[in-house]
Amino acid sequence: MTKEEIIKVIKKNILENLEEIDENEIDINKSMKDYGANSLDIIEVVSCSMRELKIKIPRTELAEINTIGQLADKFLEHAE
Amino acid sequence: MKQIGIEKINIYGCSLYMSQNDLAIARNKDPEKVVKDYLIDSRSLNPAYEDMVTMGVNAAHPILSEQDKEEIGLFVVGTEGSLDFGKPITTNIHEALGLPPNVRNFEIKHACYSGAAALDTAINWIASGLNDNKKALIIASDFSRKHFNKDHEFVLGGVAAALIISDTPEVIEYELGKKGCWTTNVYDTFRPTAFAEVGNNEVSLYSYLDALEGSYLDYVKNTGKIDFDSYFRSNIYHTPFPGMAFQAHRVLCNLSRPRKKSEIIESFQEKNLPSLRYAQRVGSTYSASNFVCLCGLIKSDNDLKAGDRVGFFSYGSGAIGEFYSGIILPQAREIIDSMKIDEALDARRRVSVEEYEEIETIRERYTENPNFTPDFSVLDNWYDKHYRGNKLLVLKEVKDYIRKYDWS
Repeated sequence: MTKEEIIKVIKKNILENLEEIDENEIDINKSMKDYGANSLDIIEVVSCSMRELKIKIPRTELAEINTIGQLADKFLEHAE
Repeated sequence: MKQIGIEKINIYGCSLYMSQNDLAIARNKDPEKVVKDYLIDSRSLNPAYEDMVTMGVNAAHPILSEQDKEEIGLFVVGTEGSLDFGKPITTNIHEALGLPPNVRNFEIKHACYSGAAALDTAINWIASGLNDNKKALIIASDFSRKHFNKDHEFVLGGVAAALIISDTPEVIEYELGKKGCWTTNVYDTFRPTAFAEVGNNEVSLYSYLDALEGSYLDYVKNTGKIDFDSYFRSNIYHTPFPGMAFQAHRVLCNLSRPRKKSEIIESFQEKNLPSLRYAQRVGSTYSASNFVCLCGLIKSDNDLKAGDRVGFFSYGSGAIGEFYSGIILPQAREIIDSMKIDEALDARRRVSVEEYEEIETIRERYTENPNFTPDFSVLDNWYDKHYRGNKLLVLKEVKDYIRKYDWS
């Protein structure tokens, strides 16, 4: 699995869970909060992405992550 | 094996409430999204002449007959909002309720898990056979601190629950030994001073879900292989805010069998949503959460019947999760109906955002204050309209830190 593939899945879930965002607008150096996500939106995106990517990570490891790119890096560390 | 569980139960959702819609508008948030995400319609509030002691007493007083009082041998309060670092509020409550002197009592803490911990202590005490045919009184009583203009201002509230635990249960029988726990050291939400209630929202939500998964897997290990969908008739999850229950249900649904969100929503509506009836009206339920949701489930779910199994998840920041289960008993609905919980919530006074800010500011000013007399004229003499003559406990004064209570 590549980082690009992971980012694609995360972006898909952001689009499904947040309103009025265009895929091209999403900058992986930003936080989901910059696109109006609240805490519940974030855990929803993270949970759906982990399930889709078949990745299992203790969720508390994800709490310090600030950007979408950092989330993808963390997923990549745990990807098969 | 003995049958042990809840013989009587009641909740007290304070005497005031504020609409989430009003708060969302005042804070420039989309009211529809706030209500949809958090599933809170309103939050409880109290005038400054109520505190964790009065809330606990006002929950317990309606369920205790004079005979019940004589039969209580253990009394435990679970709270994260105690009023003293040494003296437990069980002593204040013990006096106000007129319990006999030979009652072992203490207060326990593990954030919102404290109510379930108190329950577990009572169950084990009765199961041990060392209870000398006595019953246990359990109270969970908690209230939010002041958080103006913060993101988590939408997930605050307060409520107390009181339960009589005995070997003649009538509401629910707990399945002894069918439980699992999971713990870790994390600073997710905590109260380092009498004023502060701090933390990180995402850390807390992630930690909650880890604890849910960990404690559920431990439950399964102790219980044997089960099919999540058919084993539990209903599921009750800790509700820091009711909307969290959906996230919790989704985790357990997917753990047993990955499925589409639409299927999870359907399952959530059937198995969990009825339990949120009262949580949606009081806001954050803290240590009383599992009890508030049990009352909601029994009151709302007309198809629930004796013999149905309910799965419970309790979470305490810090953190711990416990998953346990119980079986609904034939008298459950009748007992919940007799408490008239809806009527009590309907009788609360609605306050505006301005009034909410005013009473929360006054309450904070009283915190750690050695001498004060609460103003009983606040909110257009609400005391005269709602309290006077209705046998509710109120805080009369604090003098040299000593708190004096009396009936209204």
